[in-house]
Amino acid sequence: MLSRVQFCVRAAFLAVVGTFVAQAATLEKLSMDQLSQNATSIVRATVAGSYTSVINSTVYTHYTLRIAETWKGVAANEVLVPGGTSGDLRQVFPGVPQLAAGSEYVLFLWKSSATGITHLVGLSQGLFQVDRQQDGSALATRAKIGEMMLDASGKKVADSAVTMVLTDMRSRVRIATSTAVTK
Amino acid sequence: MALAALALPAPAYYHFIHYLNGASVPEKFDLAALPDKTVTFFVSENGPVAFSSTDTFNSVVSQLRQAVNVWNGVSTSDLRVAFGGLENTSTLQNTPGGDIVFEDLPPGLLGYGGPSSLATPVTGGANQFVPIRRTAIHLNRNLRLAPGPSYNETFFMTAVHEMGHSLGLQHTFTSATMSTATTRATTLSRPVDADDIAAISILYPNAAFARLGSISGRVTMGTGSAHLSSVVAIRAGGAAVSALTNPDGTYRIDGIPPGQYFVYAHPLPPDADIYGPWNADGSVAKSSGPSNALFYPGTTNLANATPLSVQSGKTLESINIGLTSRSFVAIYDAGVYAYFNNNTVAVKPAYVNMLSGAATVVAAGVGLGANGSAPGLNVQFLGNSARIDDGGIRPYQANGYTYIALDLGFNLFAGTGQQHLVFSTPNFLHVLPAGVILTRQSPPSVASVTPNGDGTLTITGTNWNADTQLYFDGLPSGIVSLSPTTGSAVVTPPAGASGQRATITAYNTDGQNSQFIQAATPVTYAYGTAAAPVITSISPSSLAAGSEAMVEINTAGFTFSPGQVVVGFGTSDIVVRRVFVLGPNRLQVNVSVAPGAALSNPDASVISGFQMATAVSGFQITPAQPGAPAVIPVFSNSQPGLTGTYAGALVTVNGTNLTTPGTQPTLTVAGQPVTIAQASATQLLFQIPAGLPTGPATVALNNGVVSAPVVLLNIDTPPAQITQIQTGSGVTVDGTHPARAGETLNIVLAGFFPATGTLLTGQSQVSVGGVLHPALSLTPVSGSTWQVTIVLNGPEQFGQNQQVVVYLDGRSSLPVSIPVARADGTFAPTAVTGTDGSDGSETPQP
Repeated sequence: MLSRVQFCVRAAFLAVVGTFVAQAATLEKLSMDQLSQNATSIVRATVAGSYTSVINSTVYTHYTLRIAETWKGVAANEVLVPGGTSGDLRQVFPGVPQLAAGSEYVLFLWKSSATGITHLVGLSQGLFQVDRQQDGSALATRAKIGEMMLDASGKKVADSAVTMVLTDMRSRVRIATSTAVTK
Repeated sequence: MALAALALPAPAYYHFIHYLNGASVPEKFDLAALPDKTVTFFVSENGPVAFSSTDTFNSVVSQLRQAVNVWNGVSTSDLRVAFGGLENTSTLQNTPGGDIVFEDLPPGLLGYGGPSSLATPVTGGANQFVPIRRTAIHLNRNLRLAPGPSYNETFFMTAVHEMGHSLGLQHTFTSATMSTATTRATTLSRPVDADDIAAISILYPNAAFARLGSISGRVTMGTGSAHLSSVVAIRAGGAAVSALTNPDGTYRIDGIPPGQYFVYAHPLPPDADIYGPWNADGSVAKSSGPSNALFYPGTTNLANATPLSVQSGKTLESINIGLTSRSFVAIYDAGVYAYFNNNTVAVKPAYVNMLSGAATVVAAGVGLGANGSAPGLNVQFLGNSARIDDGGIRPYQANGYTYIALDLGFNLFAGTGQQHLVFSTPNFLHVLPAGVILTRQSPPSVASVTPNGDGTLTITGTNWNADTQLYFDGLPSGIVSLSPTTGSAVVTPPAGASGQRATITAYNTDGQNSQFIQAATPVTYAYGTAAAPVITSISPSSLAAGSEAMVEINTAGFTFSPGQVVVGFGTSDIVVRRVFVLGPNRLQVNVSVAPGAALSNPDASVISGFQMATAVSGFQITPAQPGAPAVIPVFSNSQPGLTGTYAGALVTVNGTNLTTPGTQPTLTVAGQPVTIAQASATQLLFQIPAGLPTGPATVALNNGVVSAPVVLLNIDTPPAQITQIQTGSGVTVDGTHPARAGETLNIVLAGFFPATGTLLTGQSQVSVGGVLHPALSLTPVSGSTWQVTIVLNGPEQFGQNQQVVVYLDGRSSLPVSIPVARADGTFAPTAVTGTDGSDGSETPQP
C-alpha cells in the first residue's frame, strides 16, 4: 500500500483491478476521437418519432431522425436502441438511453455489418443533446454516465460529463475522422 | 418508534416497479409458472467469436454456471436458478427462462441485460406483479474486449450483476453486487451481500426470510413527501440494506439481519440509473429531486444519530426522517482505493492489511474537493475498527482531479471486514458503505503449479488461509490438502478441455485474490490434448409434454465425477431435477417436461468441469398425452421429524394420474415389488425395500392401466443410530432416569460422520420432544461414532416418551424415545401455544 511519503505522487486514477462489478450495461470508455473514428456515421438530427420491433427476441425502439447535418458517412435515418414495448412484451435494459421526440442531438452511429442494425456508439457515450444558447450558439452535452466503464485493458475508469460548443465538436470530429484509423 | 410483528414484505423500489391501482407492483417471475420454482438460464450455442490468448468458450460457460449458482444459493429466496446448457435461440419455449447471447455490439458497448415482461400485470390483491416472461443478458461476441477474458473476476461479477437485473433487481447504493459502479464491494468470495439477498428475497420470499428484521417509516422533504429517496440501514462492520421511498414518502426495509443499525436517508445520485417507477399510463413517476442526507432521527453528526436494535421477525416502525430540498446532490460516487505492487496497482474498495501498520488510502468522488483542496471536509469511520488520524485528511491534485489521501489507524482488537465511511461538509453528508475492507493479511499469490502424476497438482503460493480456494479459470479445484504455513496445496483440478490453459487464482475469504497483484502475469496450467468429448446416445430421446422421466445419456471422452456434471436440454420447458453419475461416461438424469411445453427439438448438452459436448437438436418434445401418469421424483420421508430416503424408509411421492378408478396401481423399486400403503391420483405412500444398496434405484409405476415413465429414487445412506444418551453427570437416560430440564445431554450416535472429518457445531441440531436444540459440541468417539452435546434449556415438552432425533446438515438420525421431566422430576405436561394460536406441536424443520 502507499506510504505516507509516496502517496501524493500517486493518483486515484490508477487502473483498478479485481473488485468491481458491472452496471446494467458495461461500457468501454471512448474518447471523442475514438467515438468519431469508430462511428460509421455521425449526424446532427432531431428525433421525429419512434416505433418498436422485435429482432431475434429483443425489442428495439427505432428512433426516426430528421437529419440536419451529416458529419461523417452516409446519414442513417433511424437509430435502434434495445428495449421498449412491442405488443404485450415489454423489455427494459438499464443503462440504455431514451431519446425524446422533438429533441436535437448529435449522434455517433455504428451500423453492424452482421445484423444491419444501426446502434449508438457506446450507448449514452454516443449521444449528445444539443441545446441552443441565448447568444445563438449551441452546446452539445452528455451527462456523467453511471454505468460500469472499463478501459481497453478491462480496468475500471471514471466517467465525467461532457459539454462542448457544437462548432468545436464538429471541428474535432472532422479532424479525428480525417485521420481516422478504425478501431 | 414501535415494534410490530413482521407483515408481508412489500416491494422496495430497487425492483422494476409499476404504480397500479394505488399499489406498488413489481416485475418478477411467476413462481407458479416455473417448474420447481426454477428459472433456467441458457447460453446461445453461437458463442463468442474471439477470445484472448488462453480463454475458451468452455471457460466462459464455466463462469456463467458459477454466476447462476450464486443466485441459486440465496437461502431466503424461493426462486431457484439453474443452468440449462447451450440453446439454439430459435428453439420455441413456453416456460419463462433466461438467455445469455453473444452479439455484434457496437464499439464502446460491452454488455447489457434486463427483463422482458408481459405488459399486463397479474392481479391478485396485495400480491399483484408484472410477470417476467423472458430475460436476457447480451454480451459482446468479441471477448478480447473487456469484461473478458472470462477468468477475470470482473467477468464473473459482471455475469452475477447482469443476472440480478434479469431476475428483477435494479441498482442500489449499499456496496452490494446490485450497487452502482462506485459503491460496490462484493467479490467472488462474497458475490452477494445482505442487500442483494434482501432484494431477491423480497420478490421471492420463503419462510426463512421472515426471520430477518425490518424497518419502516416515512421520509419527508420540507412539507411534502420524499419520493425515491434511498433509505439505508447500516451497522458497523456489517452489511447495509436499503429501500427507496414511495410517492408518499413511506418506506420499508426488509431482510435486515438482527443487530444494531444506524439508518440514513439520502438522495439518488444523478447517475443512479434507476428505471421507472412507471405510472399506469406508462409515464415515469418523477422523484422528489435532490435533497440533503441525514442520519435518523435527523442529524449529519454520527455522534447524534440514534442506533436502532433490529430483531428477528420484527419491524421497527415510524423511523421517520425529514430531509431538505437542495438544487443538486453535493457529494456522490465516492470511492476509496488501496495500492499494491509498489503502488502500481490500485484496488477499489480499499483492502487494507491492518497488521501492516499505518496505511494511507485515497478517496475520490464528485464533490469531495476541487482544485486540490477540500474545505470543511470531514471523514470518519462508522465503528471503531479504523480511524482517520489527526491531520490525516489530505486533499491533493493530480492530472486535473482532486483526490483525498486518508491516513488510517486501526484498533487491532476490533473486527475486520467492511468498514463504512462517512464524508461530511458543513452542508452535506455522504455515506459510503464498505469503502474500506480491513484484513489481517496481504493479498494471496500463486507461485507455481506442478503435476504429481496421479491427476493431482501441487500449487504453491503465499498468504493463504485454511479455507483459501484455488480456481482454474472459473471453476474451483478440489482441495486434497492445503497448508497455509508452507503455502502449498495438493488439488484435483476440474476436468479440463483439450488444449486448455487455465489461469490459477487464489481466493481468500476476506475478499482478496491473487489477481490483485498478479493480473499481468498469472500462473497457468496446461491441460494437454485429448479427443473432444461427445454424446453417443440419449435414451429416451423424446418425451411428451407433462412427462417426468429418467433419461440415460452415454458419452465418450468425459471423466464424470459426482457433483461436477451439468446436463441441459436447451429449453426452459425441460428441467433437470437431478443428475446421477454411473460411470466416467454414463449418466442418468431425472427430467421434468412442462405440461405446456412447446413442441421442439432442443439441444442436449453435457458439461463436466470445462469439458462440454452438445447434441444439436438432440432431444424432442412431443405432444402431451392426456391421462398419462407422471411420478414427480421428489421423495419425502413421511415420518414426522425424519428426513432421508434410505432403505426401509416410509416415503411419499406426488404426481398426476397415479391411480385409475377401479384398478390397483403397482409399483417396483429397483425391480422389487413394493406394497403401496396409501394411494390417490396425486400421491403414493410406500416403504422402500430394506436392504437396497445406496445410490439410484428405478421406480416404475403402473396406475392400473398405463405405465408411467421410469424415474430414479436415490437410496440414501442409512441414518445414524442413537446408541446412548447420558446426562452431563454420566447417568444414562432411560425409563427410570429421565432427562430433566436444564440438564446437559451427551448423545452418542453410530454412523454419524467419518472420524477424520471436521464438523462445525452449527451443522447439527437435536430435536427433543419436537423442540430444537443447537449442538454445543461435536466430539468424535471412534470410527464414525460421535457424541453430540446439548442442554435442555428450551421450552421443553415433558412426558415419558419424547422423541429424540439428531440432525446433521438437515439429515435426521433414527429416532429414539426418552422420558423428559421438569427440573423437579415431575412430568406434568406443558400447554404450549404458538404465536399463530396452534398448540405448538408442529414438527420442527431443522
